[in-house]
Amino acid sequence: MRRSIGTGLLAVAMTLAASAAAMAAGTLYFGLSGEPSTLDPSIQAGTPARTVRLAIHRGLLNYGIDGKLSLELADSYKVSPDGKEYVFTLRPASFHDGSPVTATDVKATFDRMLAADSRATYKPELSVIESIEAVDAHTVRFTLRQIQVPFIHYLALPEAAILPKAWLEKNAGNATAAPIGAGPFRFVNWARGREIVVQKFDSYYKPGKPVLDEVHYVFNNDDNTRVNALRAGDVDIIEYVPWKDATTLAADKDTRLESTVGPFMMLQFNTKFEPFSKPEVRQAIAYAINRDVIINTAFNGRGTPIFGLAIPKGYPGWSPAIENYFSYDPVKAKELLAKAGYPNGFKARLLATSQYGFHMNTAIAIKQELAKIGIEADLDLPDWSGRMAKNNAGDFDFLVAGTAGDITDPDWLSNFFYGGKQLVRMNNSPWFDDPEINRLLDTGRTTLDEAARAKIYDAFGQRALQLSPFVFLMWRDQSYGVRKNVSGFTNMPGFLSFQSGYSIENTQVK
Amino acid sequence: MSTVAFARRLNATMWVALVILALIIAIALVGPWLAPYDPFEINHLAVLQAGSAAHPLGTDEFGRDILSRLLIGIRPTMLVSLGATVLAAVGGVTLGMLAGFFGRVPEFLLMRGMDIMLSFPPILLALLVVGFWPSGVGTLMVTIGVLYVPHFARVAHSATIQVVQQEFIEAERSLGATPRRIVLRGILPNILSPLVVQATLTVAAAILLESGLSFLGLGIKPPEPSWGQMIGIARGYLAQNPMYTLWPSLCLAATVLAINLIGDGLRDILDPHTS
Repeated sequence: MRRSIGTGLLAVAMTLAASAAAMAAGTLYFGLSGEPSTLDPSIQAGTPARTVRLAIHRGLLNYGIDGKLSLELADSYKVSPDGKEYVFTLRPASFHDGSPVTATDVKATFDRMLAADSRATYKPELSVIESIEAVDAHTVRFTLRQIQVPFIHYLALPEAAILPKAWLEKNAGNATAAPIGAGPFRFVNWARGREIVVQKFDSYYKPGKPVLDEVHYVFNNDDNTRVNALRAGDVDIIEYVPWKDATTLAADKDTRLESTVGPFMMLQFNTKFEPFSKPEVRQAIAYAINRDVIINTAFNGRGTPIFGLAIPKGYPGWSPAIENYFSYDPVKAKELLAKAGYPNGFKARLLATSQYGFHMNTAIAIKQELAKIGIEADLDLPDWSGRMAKNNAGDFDFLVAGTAGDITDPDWLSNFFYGGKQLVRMNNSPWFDDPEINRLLDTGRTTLDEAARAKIYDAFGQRALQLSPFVFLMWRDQSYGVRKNVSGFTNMPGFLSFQSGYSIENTQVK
Repeated sequence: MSTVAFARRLNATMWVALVILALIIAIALVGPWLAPYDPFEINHLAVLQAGSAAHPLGTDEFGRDILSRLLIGIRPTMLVSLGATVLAAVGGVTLGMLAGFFGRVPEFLLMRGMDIMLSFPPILLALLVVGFWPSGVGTLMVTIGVLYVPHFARVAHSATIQVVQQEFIEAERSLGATPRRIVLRGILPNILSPLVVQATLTVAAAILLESGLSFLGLGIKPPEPSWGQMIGIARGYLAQNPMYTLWPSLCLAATVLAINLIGDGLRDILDPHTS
C-alpha cells in the first residue's frame, strides 16, 4: 500500500517536472481577442485569424519586423523595364507535409485566388495578374495586364501565402481542412471555443528559427479576462490591450507594453441610404464630432485626432493642408445639413459591436455628438462575427470601423476608396463609386515616377475630402501586452501592427 | 385577514424590507426627475472620477454622473421583472389550474411539459433566446416571463389539486356550475396565497436574471443603463474607479434582498400551517 502510494507520488512529481521543463523549453500562450471565423489563407478575417496564419504560412514575400518588404519563399526577383513582368526565384523550402515549395504550388495558389468563384479578399487588387507561369521548379513568372506599382506589396500580404497544390486540390471545397503552409509552425489542432495549437516546424527555411516549440493561441474574447490572464501569467502575450488598462500593464512589474500608432478609427457610410448619399451630409458629420470626446472616453486619452485623411505622415498624399481640412464646428455642421435638405436632422442605424469595448464606446460617443446636430443614431451592437457579416453585406446605414491600410504603399487607399466591380465589401463605403477618384487611383497605381505619383495623391486627397465617403476620426495606439520573460516579439510599425504575428518566429520565453 | 391583523404580524425585518422596497419603487417612479445630471450627457473631461462634492458617487467612463444613472437604471430592470412576473403568473397559473382541474391526460401533458422546462438552467435558456431576437425591454420581458411559467404552474397545480378535492367544489359541480365558473370563482381565490409568495420570489429572480443578461451584454442596450449592465461595464474599470462597481451592486443586492425578505415574510403569514 505504502509502496504504491510512493510510486504514485513519484510518477506525479516526474510528470509535473516534465511538463514544467516543457513549458520552460518553449511553449508560449498567446491571448487572442477573438476566435477566427476561418483560417482560409486568402480571406482577411480579422487580426486574430491573421496572427495565427502568420505562424503557419509564408508568402513569396512578407513584411518584416522593420516594416519593410522581406523576401521569404522567394529569394530574389526581377521586374521587367515595362513593369509588367515579375520573375521570382524560389529558395529551397518545404511545406509542413515535407513536400518542396515549387513554382507549380505558387501558380496553383494564385490561380485559386483569381478564380471566378474565389472569395479571396484581395482578388480585386490581384486581378491585375494576367497569367502565372511555372518556368521551372524554382522560377515563377507573373505577367500583369498593366503596370501596377504596388504589386509587390500585395504579394507580401498574409493573404497571399503560398499553399501546396496537392492540398488545394484535395481540399477545394473544405473550408475546415487542417492548414498546411511553409511557415515556422505547423498546425496541430483547433479546439473550437478554446484555442488553436501549433508546433515548431523543424524544416523551416530560416536556420535557428522558430525558437519556440509550441504556441497556444487562446481565445480570450472578453477584454477584462484577457488582461487578467496576462497579469496572472495564464498567457504570455495578449493582443488588443484595452486602452483603459494600458497604464496598468506598463506599470506592472511582470508585464510591459509594446505600443505603436498605426490603426485609425473612422465611419463608413452606406451611400444607398439617402442622407448618406450626399457629400454635404458626410462632411457635416466630419465637422460635428469632437474627436477629443472619443479619445478621452473610448481610448482613455491614448490617441490623436484626425481632421483630414488617415494618411500617415511621410506617406505620399500626406500634407499639412489636408491634415486640418475639417475642424470641430457644430454650427457649420448644421448649416451643411440644412443645405443638404435635412434642417431637422434624420435617424440612422449606426453599426458597431458589443464585443470590443472601444468600438461600442466610440459608437456611444458618436451617438451623443450627432444628437447635438439633430442626427439620431440608433445603435446596432451585435458580436464581432455578426458585425462583420453585416459589414460585408452592406446591412447598415453607417458603421464604426477601426482598421489600418493593408500595405505601406499609398495604393492602400484603393481598397477603401475605389469603386470597381464589387461595390459592397469590407473596407469601402457601399456603393460609393466616383469616376474622378477611380481615375486618380488608377493613375497613381500605374505611375512609376515618384514625384509625379506624389502629385496624383495630393489631388486625390483634395477630392477625397470634398466627397468624404469616410469620416476619419482618430489615430489610436495599438498595443500588445507582453510578460517580462518574453522576448523577440515585435509590434510592427504603423499600419503593420496587425501583422505582428509574423514575429512569432523570433519570440522566445525565458 | 384584515389589514390591521396583517400589519400586526409583521416583524422588524419585514418593515425594513418594505421600506427599502418602497424607496426602490419611489425611485423607479420619480428617479428621472430627481437625477442631478442628465444621465446620458457625456463629459469627456471628467471620466472615471472618484466621489466628490460635484459627483457624490463619482463618474463613469463617459464622465456621466453615476448617481443619476443609478436613479434611472432601475426602471428597465423593474419593468422587465414586473412584466415578466405578470406574464409568468398569468400563463403559469392558467396552465396549472387547468392541469389540476381537468386531471388525467391534460394534467400529465402539461405538468411533464413544465418539468422539461424546469430542467434547463434559466440563464442558458435566456442566453439562447436573447441571441436570436433584438435586445430590449420587450424581448427580455417575454423571455424571462416564459422561463418562469413552470414555477407558477407547479404552485398553481399543487394548490389546485388540494382545493378541487374539497366538498364545496363538488357542490358547485352538482349545482351545474360551468368549469369556467368553478375555476375562476371557486379555485382561484383559494390558491392566491402561495401564488402571491411565488410572485414576489419571481420578481427577485427576474431582476437577477435581467441583471445577469445585461452584465453579459445581452440585456439592456447601451447607452440606456440598467444596474446589471452598469456592473458589467464597471468590472473593466476596477483599477481606474473601484467604487464604480460598488454602487450598482449595492443597489441590486438591497433590492433583491428586500424582495426576498418580503416574500419569505408573506409566506410565513399566509401559510395556513403557521397561522
